[in-house]
Amino acid sequence: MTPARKPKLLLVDDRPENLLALNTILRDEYELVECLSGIEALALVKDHDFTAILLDVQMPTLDGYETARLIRGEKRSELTPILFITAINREDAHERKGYFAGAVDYLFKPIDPEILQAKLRVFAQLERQAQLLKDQAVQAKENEFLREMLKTRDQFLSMASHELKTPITPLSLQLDAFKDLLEQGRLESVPTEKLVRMLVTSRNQVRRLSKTIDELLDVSRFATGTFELKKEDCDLGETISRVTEGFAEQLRSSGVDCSLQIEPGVRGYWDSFRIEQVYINLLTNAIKYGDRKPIEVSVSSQGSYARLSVRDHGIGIELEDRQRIFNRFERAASPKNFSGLGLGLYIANQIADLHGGTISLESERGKGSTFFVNLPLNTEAPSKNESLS
Amino acid sequence: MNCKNILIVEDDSAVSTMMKDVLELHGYNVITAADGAEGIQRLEEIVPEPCVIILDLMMPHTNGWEFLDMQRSHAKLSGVPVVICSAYSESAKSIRPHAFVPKPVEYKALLGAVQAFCA
Repeated sequence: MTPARKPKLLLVDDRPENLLALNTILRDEYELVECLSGIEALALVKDHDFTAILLDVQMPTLDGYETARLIRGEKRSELTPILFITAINREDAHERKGYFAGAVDYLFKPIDPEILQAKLRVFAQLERQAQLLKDQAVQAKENEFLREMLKTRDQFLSMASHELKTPITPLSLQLDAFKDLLEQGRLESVPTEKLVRMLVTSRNQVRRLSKTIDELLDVSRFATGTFELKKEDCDLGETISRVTEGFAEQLRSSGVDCSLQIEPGVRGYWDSFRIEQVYINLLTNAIKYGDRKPIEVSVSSQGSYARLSVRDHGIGIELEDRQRIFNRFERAASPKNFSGLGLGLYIANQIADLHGGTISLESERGKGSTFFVNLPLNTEAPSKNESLS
Repeated sequence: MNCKNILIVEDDSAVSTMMKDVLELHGYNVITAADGAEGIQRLEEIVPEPCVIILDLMMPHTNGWEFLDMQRSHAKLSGVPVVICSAYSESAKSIRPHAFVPKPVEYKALLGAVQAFCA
């Protein structure tokens, strides 16, 4: 709600003695802005919100009616109530009233203070009601925003619990099946490779669970500002090569070729574990959305920044999705078609940001995407106890 | 060993692989499909027709509901019993499957549902 204040009036009269008379009547209840001509009045309505305008009709150059017409033409004052002050007869004033949109009234000289006060009170009341409606509209918009936030959070919680629940099916089936085989003495009749395959599936499910939990913890750390970087001297090319090697099996089984182009000696003071995490997220996405086409990874230095780029030739990302995918719980692809929580890029972006770096993206629909990670090349280690960026 | 065919329609490969492995330990021959459309395709190919279909509901491309619509209106295949396997018990029951196994899937529940149709 807007705090209560005195209603503000604009007084327009070419005679200072008339302004003084109005001032005497109104100054206790109103904040007054005074001027001597229509031209000045026009400038003032551009800069202030007035509860009402008291306008002398008989003025040289720009008379009251002409001034009123121009005031109505200004966006800010198009609806401000206007009270004409006139010495001419009632009928003419009444007729003129019809030319103007919105609240218009008139007052005859000599001015009766009580009538003036009564008319202005109506205008002030109108303004209060309008403000009330405006406040309610703002409140309604805020409520709508909060409802949307709650909805997003609820959808995320439902997705997160689904993601945590799914691996339990294979794990629990495998444990009970092995127990059953042992109890019936049939374990040895089952080919070892089948048993190993079942164990590997389970092992992967434990990894999957652990990854989901790590992501959820990271998100909560970002939200509470407790995500800490453990920076150390780090060779980007070595880190990227090592992680890519670890992905050899997954790349082979997905039938994806991944080529590396590494500029040697690109070093910085970064959290190497978190840089690995950023790269793993980008590489995993490239495999997932890359349509089994080759992936190109490069490490180079560009001015004062180290640059890692991961390029795929897959489905690409629509222009309108390119900012959104870095938000929490968002991804470009429909959740119906791809599993996962949609947290990878959000986390990668936050990590780059905490390093003083950025992630950017170039993409074309159907031709693939290239993600660029830019990290500052400040090779000198800051003072020892600075672990939080 | 009974060597009966079972069709599993499930998008999560870890879930379908493990169900397949477990049912194979009990002598069933298991075919898997990753979405509804692939499920119908497999269903048309399998000879003899499966004794039961284990069907997930939430799947990409063509989901479990769409699979059911296609299967139920299929002259030759509409008779194959369907066990819905889903975390969403309400929506699963509303489509009146022959049986329902909630997720996460329990070993005994899965075997029980299969044995009811593939004795």
